[in-house]
Order: sequence, then structure tokens, then C-alpha cells
Amino acid sequence: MWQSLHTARLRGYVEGMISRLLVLFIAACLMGAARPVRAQTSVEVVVSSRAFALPGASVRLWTLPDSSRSLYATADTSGRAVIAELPAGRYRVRVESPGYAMYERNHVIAAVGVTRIVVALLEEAVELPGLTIQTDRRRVRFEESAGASVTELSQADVKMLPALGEADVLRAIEVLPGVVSTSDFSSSYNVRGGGADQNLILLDGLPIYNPFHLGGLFSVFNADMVNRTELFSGGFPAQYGGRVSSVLNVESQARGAGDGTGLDIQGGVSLLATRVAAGVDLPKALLNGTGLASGRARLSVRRSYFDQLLKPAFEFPYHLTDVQLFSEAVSSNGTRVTMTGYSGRDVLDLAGVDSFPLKVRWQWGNDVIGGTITKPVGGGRVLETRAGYTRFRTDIRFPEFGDTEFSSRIDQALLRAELSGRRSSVSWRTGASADWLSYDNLAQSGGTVFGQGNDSGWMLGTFAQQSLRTGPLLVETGLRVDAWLPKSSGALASLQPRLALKYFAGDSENVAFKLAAGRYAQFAHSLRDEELPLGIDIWVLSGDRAPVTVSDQVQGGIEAYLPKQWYAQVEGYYRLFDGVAANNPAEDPNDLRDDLLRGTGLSYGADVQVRRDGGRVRPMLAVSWLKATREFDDVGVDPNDPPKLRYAPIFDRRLDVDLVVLAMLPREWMLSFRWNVGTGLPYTRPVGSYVVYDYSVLRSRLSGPARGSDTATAVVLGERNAERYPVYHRLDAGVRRTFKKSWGTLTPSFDLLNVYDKRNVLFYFFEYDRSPATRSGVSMFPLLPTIGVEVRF
Amino acid sequence: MRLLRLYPALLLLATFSASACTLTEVTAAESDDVIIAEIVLRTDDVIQTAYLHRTTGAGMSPSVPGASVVVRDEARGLDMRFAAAPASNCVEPVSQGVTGSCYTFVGDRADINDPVIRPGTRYSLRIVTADGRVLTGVTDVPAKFSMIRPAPEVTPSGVRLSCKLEPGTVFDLTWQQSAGASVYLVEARMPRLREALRAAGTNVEGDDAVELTGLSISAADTTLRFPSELGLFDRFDDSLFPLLLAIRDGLPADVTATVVVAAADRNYVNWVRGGNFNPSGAVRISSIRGDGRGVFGSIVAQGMAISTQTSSTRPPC
Repeated sequence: MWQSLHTARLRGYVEGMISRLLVLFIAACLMGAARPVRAQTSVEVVVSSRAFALPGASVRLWTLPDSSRSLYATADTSGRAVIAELPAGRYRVRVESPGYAMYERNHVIAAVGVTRIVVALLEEAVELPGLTIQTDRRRVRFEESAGASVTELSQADVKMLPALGEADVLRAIEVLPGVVSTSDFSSSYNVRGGGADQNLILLDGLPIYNPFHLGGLFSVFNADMVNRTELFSGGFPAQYGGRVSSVLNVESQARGAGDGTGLDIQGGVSLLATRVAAGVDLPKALLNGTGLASGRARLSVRRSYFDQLLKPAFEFPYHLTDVQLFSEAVSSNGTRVTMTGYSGRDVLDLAGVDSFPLKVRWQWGNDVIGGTITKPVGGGRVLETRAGYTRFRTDIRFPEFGDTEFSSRIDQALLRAELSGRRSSVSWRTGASADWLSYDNLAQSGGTVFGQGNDSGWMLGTFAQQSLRTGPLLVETGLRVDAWLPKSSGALASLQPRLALKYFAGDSENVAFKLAAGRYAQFAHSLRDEELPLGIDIWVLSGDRAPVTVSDQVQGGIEAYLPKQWYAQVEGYYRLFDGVAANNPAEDPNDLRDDLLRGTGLSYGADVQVRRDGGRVRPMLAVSWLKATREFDDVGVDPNDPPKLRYAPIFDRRLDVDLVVLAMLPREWMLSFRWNVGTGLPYTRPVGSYVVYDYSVLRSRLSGPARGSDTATAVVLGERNAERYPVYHRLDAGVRRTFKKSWGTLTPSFDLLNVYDKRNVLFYFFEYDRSPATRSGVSMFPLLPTIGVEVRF
Repeated sequence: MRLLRLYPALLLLATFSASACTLTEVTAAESDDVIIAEIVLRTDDVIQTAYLHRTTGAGMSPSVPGASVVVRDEARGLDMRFAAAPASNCVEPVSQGVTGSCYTFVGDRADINDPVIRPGTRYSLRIVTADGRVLTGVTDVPAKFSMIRPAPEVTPSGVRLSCKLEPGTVFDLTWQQSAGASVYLVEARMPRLREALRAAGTNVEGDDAVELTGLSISAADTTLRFPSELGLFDRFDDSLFPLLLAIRDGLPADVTATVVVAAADRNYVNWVRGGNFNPSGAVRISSIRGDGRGVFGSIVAQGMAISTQTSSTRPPC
């Protein structure tokens, strides 16, 4: 009762706040529009190496001769940094990027228009992986982004964390604040009380629908190909649509080992797979006529080897393969062209295994291809166009029973254009997108269809966002409109305003208070039961059979850059979800539209992050407090007239603490520790079990328990998710050392997962048919040592 | 759709449960005492049964004696009061594990035109146990339906459903739609199938009769290919797998199958198909309300014979 009253009040408060923010948003847009535009001079610095753009490079300008004023910017994904509204005159320009020699020269900035400075940095051997660039990028985002809660991980960060077999992006983000993982066996994750299917996962801007191998044990992202990863855990700007909980951006890199040019090869062997990546400069002949000056491409191949390794002992008919290609090329005027391709397959082929009676072939995987052109269009504006295609499909075939097929696929073709610019203290971005989506799911056997669903349609979207800095206040406004036009039903649209405020305090503006609110919508759902630790996403799109999820969210907090490269952030949030979908176990076979239950959700909590961004020892502490609920019809009580049931979802981990320490020691030794402790996850306790009697239509009777110990039992469940597993905690440690050889580098690694062998509960089994009745269970990872080796040359 | 969702997940779960570790801590668990009631009304039988049992391990005898079981014909306002009966009336075969209580209602009319349970009618259930617990339920019996193939044959002794099938051939069992049916169950019993397959050169073991089930989901799916689409739930059974492969293209000669096509209501379907995942066992969706769980379902059935005997005089399928 009190809970309901409390929730209703909070809900009313948030809805009221959203309404007020809408008014504020419109007012801010009008302010921005009414602001007088003065003629400005500006400088655009285009930073590249010999072969590719250098996003993240830091650009500093000092006035000459007295250095009385200093200006700062960071290169964007096209390697471009723009500084506007500066007086004409002579400047000292310094450009830095990790792994490259610093550029520093004097330049004259013209009195009128845009002065373009093209800088080509030369590679430098000395490299401290991922330190400086992170610091700079984070600082720039701190200064320029009002609303988003973003955390970045570089390739070096990902590779240094202790891992199961090999470095994994999705495993690595589990250490970030607001992120909950429900099982050691799955790299699936939940962010701030959102479902796993509410995370948008992008590879170079292209969505990946099921980014997992081996049912979720590890992700499809090959760390050798990843440049950096950024997680928007909330407050993401209007340019991102399609999911309501978080956005994970995984950026590939073309640059390899050494000086980043010529042939580079990187390879590795882990307990899970072998992998190799090779990069080359694009031949001039290929670039001739395209206007591109230089370019680079990188191809990686990965395959698991259990099936081959274990063949002498026994059949292990599973393997995974993935191939990834990334290329980028730049022109002399700063145009950047990138191409991404990915194809991955997991194959379980029991057709050739004599010991398994039924012949089964099961495969699943993603295919992605796409490209992006980033082009300066004058006046400091940049046009980014992207086209791509992504799909996920899985099917299970039974060669001996052709009437049986379990298959699922989702396809998305996308076309996007975004224009961005900066003038004085205002930066803006606007864009439009047209995506074609379709899905087709089928489960049939023995001449009958157990379930099916398919639909297709256009998803049209447009957005505009702007950021206005006035004194210590940064105001970010945005509006996104998404329209989903499915063939099966009428159009569905969602208007999604976003507003964020940030107030900088202190002389150096190292402290900021921020508040953000917005509405988010998504038109796709996964049918995967999150209570299973492993599984494959089966996607459906909104329409007659699935709702649109709309989430109103408010978040606010404080972040601070502290001395000695320390950073701290505290952020609270409150999220409402409407149109959350769950499987309907009591679906009516005569009603094709009741496969999914439509429900609501609520989550609130707070995240704390303290980290050190520099130095040889870098600790990071993330503390996440969460309370999440879901409310659905309780069809288990009465499918025809179900009461409402509110419960804690499986990912409702109330307190989650991650402590990570990365240490770079002398002589290329690297140590890493991760300690994770989390309060128990909810589960539903069976209160009893009973003997199952099958009804025989032939005999008009129940069939008795036929074979003594084979007696089947079913369970009577207690209140849904009312019980909690014990506290989870686990310490992982890793050590690696890089040996520099004449031909390249060799990095062996040794990781120890669950150092003190804590038996964290995966499941409890209640066995009431035993005498006495018992509760037993299975644990997650035991103490698990893994080794690997990586070579680069 | 659930099968599609759960099958891959369960396969993976089985694989990785093996790699996880058993918890060393095993504690005693206390079970609640929950009454389970299983009542499936049938239109083609004068005897209706109710089987009551309990959750195991609750320190109680699994039987539920002394209960009042009443099924009411809501259209006519007639009550059927069930009486205690031997377990064999409810469960077959009766083995040591059958420890529940059986109740039956025996109708006094065997008239096919006025059966005890009438198709298309709503029935309600009320059970009051000896300790005062009350269980209730409602079922809407699916509507009557007729077979199309094999076609009903009018004989002096009544309507007969049977046909002759050429060995090594299949045909589509076809029937009219039954309004309100959620699924059609097709069960076939073939006493001499193993022997006939051995005679035809297929290596199958055993001599017991083979019982196979087929399924058509939703009221609109009114065909099933006989016999290749039978045995849907037995394809993982080592002992039946070679047999199922052998009858993909038809039955061998000299086999007579007793076949029942039954239209079942939604309560029945919810009970047998299972609900959400729970690692401790299957979860079933109850249509019994109040102080217990279980099923109060209903079935409309049609029985027939299909023979591949060369001497058979039945009409062709």
C-alpha cells in the first residue's frame, strides 16, 4: 500500500517535471534561434596521420606574442577540431595525440572566414596505452556535454582487465557504474534498470542485434579491432534513437602495431579462440580518382578450436567463426570515409555425432556491412552520411525431419545523414534517417506451427539538438521524432524531447552540477527470457503484436575533476517505462496478438564513480544502487481475468560495487584486479512439487508415473522473485608482460577468475520429492585460470 | 513461439550447467501443502473423473479423501456430484507412485445425442476438501466437430469411422473446425507396429504397443499427416527414434491403428504446455482457483480405426 502510494507520487512528480521540461525545451530552442549571429572568424584544424584521421587529438592555440589567451578543442571522428569566435592574428598551434610526435608551429588566423590548418602527425614509438587520449576526451566531453552519462574504455583498458579467455568489450563494461550483469555465463548486461534488449549496441554506428557468441558467454567484438568503447548509460542526446536504456558505441580501428603504416599483423591464442588481424595501407591505385589521399584497411579472423582440439578424445561439434573488416581513408580536405564489415557464425552440428540420436544443425550469427562519409561542407559544418545493413539470424534444422524448423531473423537497412556545426558558443547537430526493418520468426514441427510472427516496415526519424554555453551554464536541448510504419498495422510515432543543464563551478570549472530529462522510445523487443543465464535474442517489432516502449527519465548529479588526475561523479536517476514486453506463457493459440504481455516498469537509483585517469596505478571504483520493478498481468493466476503483479526483475541488483585497479609496472609488466560485490538477485522459490500425470486421450485417463525414478515433477511457485540469492562477490586478477623483440612484440597473459573460489549461486534446485526435501544448487564460475598469448608485428 | 525461445536456451543451459559447480551447501527445504486437482471432462464418455493429489514432501499423505467434487452444467443448472472411486478409474497404470484420490461421476445415459458432457457448454467446478479448502474452476467445452477424412460411414449399428491405408503411404487426417478448441490432439495406438516393422526389415526392439501423439495448434489447423506427423514429442526418445524414422513415409503392412482426434480447450493446453522457466522443474498454468492448483479442462473426441491390413474391407483413406 505504502509502496504503491509512494510510487504514484513519484510518478506524478516525474510526469509533471517532464511537462515542465517540455516548456523549458521550447523556450531554450527559441532562445537559441533568437540569438544574434555575429560575423566570426574561426580556425579548423584537420589532424591525420599518414594514413588516417586521428579522432581525439588535442588542439591548443595560444595568442602570440604574449600567450595571454589559450583555446582548446579535440578532434572529432573525422579528425577535425574547430575553434570559433577568436580574434584574427598570430597563434601558436600545438597538436598532440598519443603515439605521435607533437606538432607545434605558429600560424596566422585570417580576419574573415575559416582558416584551415591541415596537420599530419608522425608516429612516435613511445606509447602509454590509452592514457592521455582518455583524459583529454573525457575532459572535453565534461566541458561540452551537459546531459549524457558517458564512460569510455580504450582498447588498452579492455585488454588489461582480467577476462575469460580473451579480452571482451561487453565483459569490460560490466565494471562501469549503472551496469549490472546477472550471470558469469553471460556477457549480456542491464543498465540502470532497463532490460537487456533496451541497450542499443553499435559497431561503427551500425546496430548489432545479438552481439554474442556461444549463447552469450562472450561477445562478437574482437578486441584487436576495437579502438574504443563508450557507454551512454543515460541522458543520451537526441541523435540516438531506437533504444530506451543505453547506447554502447564500439569503434573499430584501422591502425595496427608499430608506426601504423605498412603491413601490421596482430594475433593471439586464448582458451576460447585463435585470432589474427592484418592491416595494410590502401594502394594508391585504389584511391586514385576517389579524391582520397591515403587510407588503411584491417581484417581480422577469429575461430574457436575446441572442436578440433578435442576431436581425438570426443566429439565437440561446436565452433564459432567471425570475420571483421574496417577501413578508413582521408582526403586532403579532411573528408573521411570508413567501411565496416562483420560476419560471424556459431555452429552446433550434432548431425555427425553418433552418440546423439537426433541429428540437429543449429547456427546463428550476425552480418553487418556499412560505410560512413564525413565531409566538411564549409563554415565549420560537417556532413556525415551513413548507409548500412545489419541482420541477425538463427535456425535449427533436423535433417531427418524436414517438417521441423525453428528459425528467427531480423534485418535492418539504414540510411542516415547528419549535419553538425559550431558557431561561437553554440554547437548544433541535426539529422534524418530512413531504415527498413523486417523480422520473421517461425517454430513449426509435426505439421503444426507452434509460433510465428513476421512484419516489416519503414522507420523514419529526425532530430535536432543544440548546445548553448552562457557563462557557467551549459544548456542542451534536443528533439527527436521517430515514426515506425509497419505493414501489419497503423503508423506508430513518438515525440522525444531532451533537455539537459550543466552548471560549472569553481575557478577552473572543474566541478559541474547537471540535470537532464528526456523521453526515449523503442520499437523492437527481444523475446529472450532474461531469467535464463544463456540464450539467443529473438526479436519482434512493434505493431499489432508488440507494444512501443516509451521511457521518461530524469537524472541529475555532480561531477568533478580533482587534483592528481582524479575524477568523481555521483548521479541519481528515475526512470519510468511504459510498453515493456514479456512473454505470455498463457497465450491463446487462437489469438495471434497475445504472444507478448504489455507491462510497465520503474527504476531509480544512484551511481557513484571515482577513478584516476593517469599515472601508473589507476584505480576505479563504481558503486551502483538500484531499485527496479516491473508490472504485468499475472496470467499464471488467471489468464482470462489476470490481476496485476508487480515484482523485481532478475536484474534488480540493489547494490553493485566494482573496484578495478590497473597497474603498469616497470619492464612492461601489467597487473589488473577486479573485485565485484553485489547484493543477491531475485528468484522465485518453488513452494512445492507434485507428480506429473499426462492425460491420455486414448484411454480417457491420466497416465500414472511409469518408471519409478523417472517420475516427472512440476513445481508450484511462490511469489514471483520474492526471494534473493546470497550476496555475489568475486575477485579476478590478471598479469601480462610485453616482450619487445626484433620482429615485434610478444605479450603472454595469465588471468585468474574468482581468485578465492567463491561459489556464487547460479540457481537453486528445490527437490521436494526427496526425503527429506532439500535445497541444492549450482554455482557460477569456480576458480578459473586462463592463459593467452598475443603477438604484434 | 515458446519452443523456439526455450529449446536453444535449454540446450545451452544444459551444456553450461555441466561446467558450473555443484554448491556444497545443501539445506533442508520445507514444502507447502498444496492440493492439485486434475479434471478433464470428455464428451465421449459416460464416466467423468477427478483426481486429487498433493504436493510431495509436505508431511501429508498425498491422498485427498473425503472431498466434495461437484461439476455444474451452467446451461441446464444440473449438478454432477462425484463419488470416491478406485484409483484405476482415474489413472492407468496404477503403480506404487499413484497415491492420490480418485472421484468419478457415472452418467446414466449413454445416448450420443444427449451426452453427459455436452460440446459447446460451460461447466463449473467446486471442490471442498475435508479440511475446508475450496477449489473452483470453469471450462468451456469446445464445439462438436466431424471428421472429413476418413469420412463417417453410416452402418446399421451407427456411424463408423475407419479406413484402409495402403502400406508405405501417408494421408491427411482432416476434420471440421471445433469452435473454442485451442489445440487438436491426435493419439494413435498401434499394437502390432514393432512386429510389422521387423517383418519389413526395420530393426526396432520390444513388443509393446506403440502410442504416438500428434498436434494441431489453434482451432483453424484441422489436418495432420498420418502417420508421419505423429510422435512429435518422442523424437528425442532413443527407443522410439528408429521407429519414427521408419514410418515417415507410411506404415508397414498389417497394422491397425486406433486413432483419437480430440479438440481440447485452453485450460487443458495451459496445463500441459508449461509456463515460465524455473530451474527446479516444470511450471504449469493452473485453471483451478482458490486453495489449490490444477486443471479443469475439457475435450471433444472422435475415435477411428486406420488399417494397412491387405484383407481389410474398410473404405480407402
